[in-house]
Amino acid sequence: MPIEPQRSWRLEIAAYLFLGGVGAGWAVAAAAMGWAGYGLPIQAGPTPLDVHLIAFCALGGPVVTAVGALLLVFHLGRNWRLAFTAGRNARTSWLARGFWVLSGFIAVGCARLAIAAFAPAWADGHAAAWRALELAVVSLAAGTTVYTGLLLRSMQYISAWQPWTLTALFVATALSGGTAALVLAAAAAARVGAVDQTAAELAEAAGRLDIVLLIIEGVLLAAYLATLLRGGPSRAASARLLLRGAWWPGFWVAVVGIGLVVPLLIDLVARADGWSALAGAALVVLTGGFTLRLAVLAVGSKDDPPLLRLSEWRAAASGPLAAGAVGTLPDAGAKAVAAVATRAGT
Amino acid sequence: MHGRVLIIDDAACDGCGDCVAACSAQGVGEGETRPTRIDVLRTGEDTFVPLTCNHCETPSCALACPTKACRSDPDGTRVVIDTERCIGCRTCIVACPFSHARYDPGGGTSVKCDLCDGAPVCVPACRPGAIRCVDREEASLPKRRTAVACLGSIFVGTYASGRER
Repeated sequence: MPIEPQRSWRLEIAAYLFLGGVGAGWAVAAAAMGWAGYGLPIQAGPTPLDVHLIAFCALGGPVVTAVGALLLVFHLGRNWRLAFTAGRNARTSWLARGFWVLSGFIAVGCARLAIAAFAPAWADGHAAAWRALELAVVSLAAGTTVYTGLLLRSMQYISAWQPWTLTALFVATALSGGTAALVLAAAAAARVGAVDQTAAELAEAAGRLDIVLLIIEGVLLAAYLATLLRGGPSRAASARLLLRGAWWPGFWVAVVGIGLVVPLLIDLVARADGWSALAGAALVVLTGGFTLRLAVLAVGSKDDPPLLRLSEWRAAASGPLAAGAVGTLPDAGAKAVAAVATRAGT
Repeated sequence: MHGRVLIIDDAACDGCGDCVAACSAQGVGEGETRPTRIDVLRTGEDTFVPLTCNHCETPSCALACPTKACRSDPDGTRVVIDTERCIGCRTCIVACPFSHARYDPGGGTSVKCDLCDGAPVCVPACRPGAIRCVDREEASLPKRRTAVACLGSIFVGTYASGRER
């Protein structure tokens, strides 16, 4: 049997995993920056609109994840049933577990964002509750980044999605994408005069963190490819598709070139150019992260089922296999119509 | 009735595709078709494998389904999809090693073989008799006999080669 990639999960699922990861990574990176002393002061805006803008730039991750979840809803054939039935099988289904983790992250994260945007004084008056909310959001965000890798790993008959290096790679790209989104948010917050200096410091620190994350991402990507190349036939088929098959331009140009090499070059060569260089590097990191997920989904091939191997052995025993003779019967649809007509006639 | 299983003898299949046609025409109006629940794969010049749901004891499709729409029957003999509960996420298709369940764009849900409630239409449609519907016990007996025969031949071969030495 020829090994063919799965075709059921494509663009919407790639966008769901990407935006889910970026939103969660943004929340984790923003919290880490805040703990390191680079947080945006949410009450510093001179007008209510500025306060809203700064709050979104500091805590907007859950909104991005919500957009990703919306794309999953569009992928569903019966999306209106989601609210009533999804999440029922959390005991064994990672998609159901993800439903609960993402719902929790979006709900708690958006509540915290709403408090920061519309009642920032409450946060000052209830420091302990605010800190507890922050810890809850960061925990759920961390769970979301890990979930994006584990969902693919739970599809046990697609070998290319099984290595732990892929799960780690998805976590790393979620964090690097989230940090890149935080840089873009800082660039937007810098338009408010009262926080422009703080936003510049935040972007500088986030940019440095992103470089470290990109190096980790590069190492994990190489380790993942090595695992694929050393694996069985379906892993090797996935590696071939990525490295020199239909997906080579997407992989080498968008994932490796634009997603990893270009941001590192920008950091080395044009870091002094300020906001334009930082924002440019952030955008290419996000492009690479999305293409990586799209490519990994597109090359996920199932293992050859034993039943078909048995049939091939029998065929090999009775004569050489006909090249290109493998596939479903082409005239099944026409036969079905004829069968209905015959039945109607009798 | 649901204690029955489909036995497929791929060596007897001549690739006529009548099982696919019968399945596609099952339960729909005149001149209409539905997504088939059985496929015939050509694996060589004259070799074919009819493929349908194996109704696994531990079905990966049911484990992956987020809504419990895809589940084993209470007596554990069939794996079915409740289309009233399915949200059309296609996780079952990705999770199945044979990609057996398929997406029905018309209904917006996944569909799969449910053994036609005990009387599969592919069985009478199969002229070479490659597809049979038998009791579960009857299905396992030939498998056990084959396994014993294989083990026996291995043992006899090993014993004979030992005596020759």
